Amino acid sequence: MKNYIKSIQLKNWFNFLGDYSENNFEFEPGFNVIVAANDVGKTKLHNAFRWILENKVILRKEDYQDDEAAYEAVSLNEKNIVKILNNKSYNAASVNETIRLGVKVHYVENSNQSKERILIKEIQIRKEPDGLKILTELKSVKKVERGNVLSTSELFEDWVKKIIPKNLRSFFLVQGETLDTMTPLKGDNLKRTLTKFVDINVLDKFLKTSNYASNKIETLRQDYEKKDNQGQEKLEQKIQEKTELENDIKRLEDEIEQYYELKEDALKKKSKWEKSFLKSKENRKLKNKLDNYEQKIENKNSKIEENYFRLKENYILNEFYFSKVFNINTQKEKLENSINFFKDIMSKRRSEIQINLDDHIQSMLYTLEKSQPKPEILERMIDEGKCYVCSHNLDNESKDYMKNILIPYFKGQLENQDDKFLDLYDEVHSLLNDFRYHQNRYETPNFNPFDRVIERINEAETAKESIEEEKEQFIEENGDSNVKTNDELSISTYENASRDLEKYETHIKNISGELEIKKNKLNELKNLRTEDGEELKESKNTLKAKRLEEFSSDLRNILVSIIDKEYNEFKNQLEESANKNFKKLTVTNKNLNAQSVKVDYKLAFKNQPDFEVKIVDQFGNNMSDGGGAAQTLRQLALVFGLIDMVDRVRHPFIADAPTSNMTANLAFTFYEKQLNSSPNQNIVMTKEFWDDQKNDLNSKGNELLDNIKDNQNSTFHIMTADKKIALDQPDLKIDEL
Amino acid sequence: MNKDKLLKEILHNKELKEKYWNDIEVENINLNTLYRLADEEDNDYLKYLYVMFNNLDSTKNRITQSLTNLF
Repeated sequence: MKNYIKSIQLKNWFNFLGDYSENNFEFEPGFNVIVAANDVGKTKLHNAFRWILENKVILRKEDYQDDEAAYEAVSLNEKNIVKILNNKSYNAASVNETIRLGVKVHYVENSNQSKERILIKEIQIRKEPDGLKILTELKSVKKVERGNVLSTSELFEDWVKKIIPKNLRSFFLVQGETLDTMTPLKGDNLKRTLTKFVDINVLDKFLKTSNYASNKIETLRQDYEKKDNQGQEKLEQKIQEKTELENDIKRLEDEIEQYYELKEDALKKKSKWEKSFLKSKENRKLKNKLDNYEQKIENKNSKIEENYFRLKENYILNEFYFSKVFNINTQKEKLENSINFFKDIMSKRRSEIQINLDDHIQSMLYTLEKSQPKPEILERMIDEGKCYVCSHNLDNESKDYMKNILIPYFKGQLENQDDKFLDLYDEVHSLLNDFRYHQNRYETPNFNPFDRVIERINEAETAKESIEEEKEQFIEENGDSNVKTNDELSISTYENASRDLEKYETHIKNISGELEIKKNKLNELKNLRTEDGEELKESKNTLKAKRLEEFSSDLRNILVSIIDKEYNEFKNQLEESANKNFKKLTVTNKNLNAQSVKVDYKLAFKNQPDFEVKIVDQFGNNMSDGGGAAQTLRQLALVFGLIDMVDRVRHPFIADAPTSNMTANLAFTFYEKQLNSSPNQNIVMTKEFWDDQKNDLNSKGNELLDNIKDNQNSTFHIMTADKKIALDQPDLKIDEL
Repeated sequence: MNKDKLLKEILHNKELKEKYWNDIEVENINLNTLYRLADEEDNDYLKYLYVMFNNLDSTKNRITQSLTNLF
């Protein structure tokens, strides 16, 4: 069973005036041909299918260049709707009246369970004074159950996809005039068309994902390498630090080993000399004791000698004392003479003063002389006329005396008559001082100084004898001269060994501490990459990224080869299938039948496939440039080749004038083939079987009609102007509105 | 070609197999068991393959994150 279109109904669709029931085409599941002359409505009917299935219609372009296609597939809009709406219905409507145009397709799906649906698509248009306005577009699906038409909420688009899937429409919905553009034989359009039939969707996605992933892995690898470089610098520093630590540890271990050896030697030496050291030390102790005695004796000797010396000195000194006593007496006599002389002078002067001055003045002057005020003070007293000593007022006489005698006297300005007196005065003064000194010192000299010294000498002699006795007793008890030269050697050797031992132990302790610190540091660095190639974590990531980068590249190459393989398989199948159809289509033409379809394929830029469909002769020469019927046959062979390959669901094939470029014989062969062997429903509009002059079927048409009559699954429609109105009216133009 | 068929094509590709999973039995591996195998074998290439298949419809950010998680 196959899926098929049971009928199509048109409402005010181009020249199909009236409601759906007035423009009804019934079809069978097999071959259905609609024969009509030009401009009767074949293409307009085909457009009805296209509008339902593709939401487009093929219209002739308003202005087109010679080098471009005259037709284009367009959507309906307010500008082109006027070309689709039947002009009589338009003319009959008044301004602001709503007009409807639409298409109904009755579709039968024969899967597990037969389903019948009617797809309705309508446009409501309002006639305006200056044109048309599209109000709404209505799409609906009705289901037919046991002859009843029922509403359903099923989606219109879902059923459109079921009738002909989007990727197959270029092949199942064919329009003769546009066959070349709709079914190209080379270039991007062919590539786009054919790639729809190769299921490389997953491959394509995989390749795109893989491409992106490759780039990402490369970026990751670069990032890791960057980190590695930074880490490498740190690593090199740490490796250097580690090397230094290792060298230090080696050096310290050597050093500590040396100290252990030295310590061992010192220990041996100490042990070796310990016995003699102890003995020598004892000897030294005895010697020290003896030395002590000797020292004490020596001290006593010194004391005795010192006292003998002192005795001698004292004797000399005592002689001196006697001579000094004698000298003092002489000087004492001399002093007395001087004092007497001085007293004479003083009494003479006093008598002089007593003669000339009264008692009061004399008293005052006497007091002044005693106090010997400074000349400046005396001058001030004269100025003020008052004595600062006794507070009396000074008369003129006193002032004169003070001014002429006392002040010059105190200033030393007296005449030289007193020099002798002054010299004598000085001499007396000096003698008195000498006398006082000697008198104090020698007045009571000790004339017996020897006794104390002799006593001291005796004490020292006694003490010395006592010490010597003690020494003798000590020698008697401990022996004499026990200390030998060897003793010094053993003591110094032992003590040196002990000091060395202590020194080495300190060194060993210090170095051990230092070693422990350095070994701990080294232990912290032990996870670093070593010289034999252990890697850091970052480096592992870099290596991993590099491995994945390589894998990604290999994977992409494999993917491309899989894609290439897929396309190649498709190309081979297509070539075989198209060729099979080509041979069938050209069975009546010997020359064409000798040729064959060749599909060229290669994987081009960005892994995109490039196809070209050619016709080659038996020698492989390219015969594709012929055009005309051969070109159409090549396209039809390709189309049916594809349909045979891909259409497992068996969709209806709806074509408008697919054989327009063929000769009558070739066209007939095509229809015969379709009638007899096509597994799909065919709805084909054609004029090849119409004779315009006779306004009736030609002989091939009749022949085909006869064949169809024998086939219950097929229909034959003749569409004439009188059967379908509007033949007498031209299509509306926009400028006519 | 669907995902499972593509996975089989890749896993059984002689060149890839010899180079990247020579010692691993991939005969009965499908998309559901791929990651477990990759994880058990600790094979980065199979993990990478899993990321590819698992992210065919993912955003670029998601792919980037999945790739980063491989490290």
